[in-house]
Amino acid sequence: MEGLRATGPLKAPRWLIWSVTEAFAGPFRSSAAQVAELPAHQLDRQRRRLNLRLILTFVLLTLLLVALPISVARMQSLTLIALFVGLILFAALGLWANHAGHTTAAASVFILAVFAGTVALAVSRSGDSTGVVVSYANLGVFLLIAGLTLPAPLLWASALIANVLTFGGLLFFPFAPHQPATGTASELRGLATEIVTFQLLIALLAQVYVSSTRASLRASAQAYEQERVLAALKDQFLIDANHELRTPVMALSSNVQLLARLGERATSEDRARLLDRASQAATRLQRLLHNVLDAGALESGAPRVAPEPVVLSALVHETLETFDPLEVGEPGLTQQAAQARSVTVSVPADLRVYADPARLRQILVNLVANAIKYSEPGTPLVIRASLLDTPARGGPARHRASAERLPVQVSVQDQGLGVPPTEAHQLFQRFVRLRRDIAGPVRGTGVGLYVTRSLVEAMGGRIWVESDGVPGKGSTFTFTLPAVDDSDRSSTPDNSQDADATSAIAT
Amino acid sequence: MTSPPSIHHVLLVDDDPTLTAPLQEALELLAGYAVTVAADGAAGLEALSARRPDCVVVDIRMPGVDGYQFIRAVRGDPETTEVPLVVLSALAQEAQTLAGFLSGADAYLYKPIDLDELLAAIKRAIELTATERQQRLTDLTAE
Repeated sequence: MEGLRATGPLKAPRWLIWSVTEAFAGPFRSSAAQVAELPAHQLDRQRRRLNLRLILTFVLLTLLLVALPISVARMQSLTLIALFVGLILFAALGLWANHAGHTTAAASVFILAVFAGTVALAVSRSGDSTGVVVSYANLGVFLLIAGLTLPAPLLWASALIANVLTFGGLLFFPFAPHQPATGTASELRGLATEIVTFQLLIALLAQVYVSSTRASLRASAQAYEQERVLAALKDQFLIDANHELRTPVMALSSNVQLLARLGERATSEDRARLLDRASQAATRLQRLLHNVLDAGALESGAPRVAPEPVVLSALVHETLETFDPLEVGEPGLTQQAAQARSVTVSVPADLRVYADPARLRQILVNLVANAIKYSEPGTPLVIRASLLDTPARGGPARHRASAERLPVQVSVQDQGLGVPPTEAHQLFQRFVRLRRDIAGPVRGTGVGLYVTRSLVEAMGGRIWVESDGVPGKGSTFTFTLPAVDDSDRSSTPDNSQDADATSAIAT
Repeated sequence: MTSPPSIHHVLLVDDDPTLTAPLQEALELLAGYAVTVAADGAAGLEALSARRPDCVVVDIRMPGVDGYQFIRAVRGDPETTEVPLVVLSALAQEAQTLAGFLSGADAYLYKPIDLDELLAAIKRAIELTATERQQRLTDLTAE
């Protein structure tokens, strides 16, 4: 009991200090999570509520600590003291109503009461024209308060009421005792117009302030939401990449370990087979690493590319050779023929593009690997390329050189699961995987096509996908690259030899 | 190396042929097991009913019947409920591991794993008695 008594009086001021500082700091404090999670109208209500709490607390404290003590000390009229006490109770009631969630009602009553009080005071003054004019001008301050605490339509309603009161009080109030003393009617008319304009200006400023606050809150909420989505995608990417890397590492290590454990027992056939499988696993791992590392590097800007004239068909065939022959099919290998695919390459032997060969290989690897990954074993793949006869349009403006060249269009077509048209536009974004695949058994990290798009664009091309999204009908991924024109040919005379060599491979 | 009294039969259930190929050879050549490979959960259950193996090594992420469903099906069938089950998966998060054990796995191994460790885990799982298995599951659910 004694302890309670001792701490009681100490605790009360601390609580009071907290309440007051909280009221003053509230409108200027906001948490990102709250801004993002509350819907716009609730956020606006919250803003008005905190503003009204600050204003009413300020009014209450000023009356209680300044106006009331001074009027008591000066022994002013009892009516004035009673008025101050009444106002203090009125402000306290407003604070309570605001706390209970009736912000609009509390603010409306407060504003209207001030208006009524002002008019009553003005009308009751006799012979004091300056004070009357100042009273009406003061209504502007309360319009600012209305802007901070009321919904926009009520702000303009308040402005209208203030305007009518000002005109009416100054010009038309029939029994206004001050009227004869304030000078000529034209002077009053001029003052009334000025005060009303001033009031409307304040209302407009309040409206502008509130609108801009609302817009910036909305922008913050959107930015926060975007950040959150990206963070979630990144987390998923880390999980996927972790998962994706484990399998080829295991394939690589188990082949190598088996070779080591077998030692002398392994025949030369065993050795060749295990090493071949190990190197396939290493290739798979390498492709994955390229994409994951490139996706990381792309965060700090566009990839660096060193374009040069490249014979397309040679590069396509070279790239296909890096795939598992059991998967993409090779005439010499009959083992597991049921799984092998027919890969049709339809690329003119002399077609040359202006591209970074390593990056172009990476693009093709990604598209072919995807085609294999998302289609049944044994279904055919078609790789086509042709020179278009109209110049590239809509490419990035920074590639002026590429805009002047004719584009070559390269496409990889499969008969796999396809891409739902509604999700096609997101497919080339960072970390994005199709909804179907996130839960599905097909593994991936969501960076392959993002890296591919970045590489294509860095070389001055475009990439897109065409698909009905119907499983079995598949999809066609197409990209463009600038073609090598005659001026390039003359500057690199030994390229004609390359083209001849390629036609031999292409047949 | 001591040769086992009789040749144990191991069923390998994984949809990735680049992994099942070396693992099958490793189990056959290094440990002397007879190995059957099934490419997904459904094929695994089919192989299981055709011939009861002495141990199953199963992946989790597979098309159709996944590893968890496979394990629950095996444990739910009185014919196969005692079959030792070893999970070998790239899903290495704690919740995924726990889900594996709660489904009824005897061991949960993460890819990539050393061949010797895999062989040791299979050996331990084969030697695990029914009482020990029941005790482990009780301990796990008590947590």
